[in-house]
Amino acid sequence: MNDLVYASLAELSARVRTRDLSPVALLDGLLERIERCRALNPFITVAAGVARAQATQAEREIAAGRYRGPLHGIPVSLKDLIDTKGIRTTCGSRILADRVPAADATVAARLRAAGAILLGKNNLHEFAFGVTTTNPHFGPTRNPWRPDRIPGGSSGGSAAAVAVGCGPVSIGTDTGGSIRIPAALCGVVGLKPTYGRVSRHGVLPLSWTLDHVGPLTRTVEDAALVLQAIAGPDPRDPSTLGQAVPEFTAGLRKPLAGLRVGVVADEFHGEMAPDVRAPFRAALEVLATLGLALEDVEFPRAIEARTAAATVLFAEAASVHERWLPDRAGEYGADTLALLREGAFLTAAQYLRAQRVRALILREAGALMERLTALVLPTIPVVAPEIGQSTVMLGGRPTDARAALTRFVRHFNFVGLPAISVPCGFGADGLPVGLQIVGRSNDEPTVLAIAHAYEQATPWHTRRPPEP
Amino acid sequence: MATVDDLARIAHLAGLSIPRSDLERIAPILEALYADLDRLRKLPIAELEPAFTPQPPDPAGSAGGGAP
Repeated sequence: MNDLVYASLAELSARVRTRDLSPVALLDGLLERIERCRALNPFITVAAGVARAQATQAEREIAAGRYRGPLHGIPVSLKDLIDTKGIRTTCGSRILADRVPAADATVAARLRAAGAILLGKNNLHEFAFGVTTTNPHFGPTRNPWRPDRIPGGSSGGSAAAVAVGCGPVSIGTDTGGSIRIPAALCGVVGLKPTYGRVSRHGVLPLSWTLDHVGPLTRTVEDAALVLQAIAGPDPRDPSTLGQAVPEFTAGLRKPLAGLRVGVVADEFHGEMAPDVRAPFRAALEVLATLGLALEDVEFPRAIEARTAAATVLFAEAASVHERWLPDRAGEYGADTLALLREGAFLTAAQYLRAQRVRALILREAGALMERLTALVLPTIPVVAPEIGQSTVMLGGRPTDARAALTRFVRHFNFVGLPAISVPCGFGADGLPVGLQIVGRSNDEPTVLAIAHAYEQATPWHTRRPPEP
Repeated sequence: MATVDDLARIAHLAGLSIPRSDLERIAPILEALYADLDRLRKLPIAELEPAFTPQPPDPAGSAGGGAP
């Protein structure tokens, strides 16, 4: 069974296309796997009935010669913040626990059109406002590598599901690292595309300025295949307009020799845990052997960017939740409620100041990326904390766990650059460590090419968590 | 510096009912954030408009894949 549950999307797709593997048999295998992994709690809803009907239809279409492409007949799960027609979409909340959308989000509709099978809806941090996926309403998702640890968040159910073989793909969202953090902590691939690359229509916002939608997979090639299916203009999300969509898989094996890549080397390096620093340093050596020309750089105004990004996030999240905060505060979990309330005390002038700082940092980051093709840095400075752990040790000091987990990722939401996390080894207690590769705007092909070359040169993507 | 009483008044004006114990917990967090935000005034932003329309930096000016 493991050869099926841990097969990549590309491998499964080849077998489905040639009718060596039935979509119904594949679905049944994954439903059995989900049942076996129930204690990890990666799903809020398993859509077995809908999925079986879709798989049967896919099987019929493929048998009739109407093959739609690499996602046809492939089970895919979605973070439960993404609207699915006729299937409840809770946003991980009590407030929306019974909400059944009347229409698909654009990303769900595109997957459906590509022939993907909707396997279910993944657990998440309540309203995507947090990084632990310790959900007070649907229970915590547990890290497949050590169930006493968090999977990260907010797309924690997505990452745990993919890591433990409950499907090859999940779609997550990333406002301050929420795809890349759980990808790194669970040892899978997580891609936050360029801002506007993937439509957010039908996805409950957390912050209009910072929200992104993207895939979590077990290989870089699979991330490229999924991005191909979900990227592109959508009139219902103006941020997506005006883009040309490249062939994301076509460039995976393009030559990388001589590309100038910045190693983000400012205050970040001093605040990395030793068990993350060692795999990161080893990853840099691999990247150098691939021919990349590495040089130390500083990300512009990293500390100020952190303050401004937090201000934008808190203020916009408070605005999104204005409809519920006055009357339904008691239905939020404590940590989400506290963050939303902080946003309510920011003034308009403070929010605008943060957006003006964003204009400055966009300009300076643009100048940095004129001379560099990509940036590399760890995804997270520590391995997965325990469930309920509120602080971690960084630089010899106890540091708020949320601040630590978002430390290296939030900047790239603020400037909208594409960023991927790929597994790059293991730290303390056998827990995964992630390498983050950041590219130029709309240059996911190069980000994917570097990530793919690194992945193929290392064994990390072939490691599996213990059997649940 | 915002006191707990200040926050209680602001919350009331915003239509939010927040227990005093929660305001006492939020106050130092907000004070630190306000101080950080105050430091942002020193950045060269006087001539810049807010980045309302999210626009990631695009040095190549292209909409498709870039180098290599």
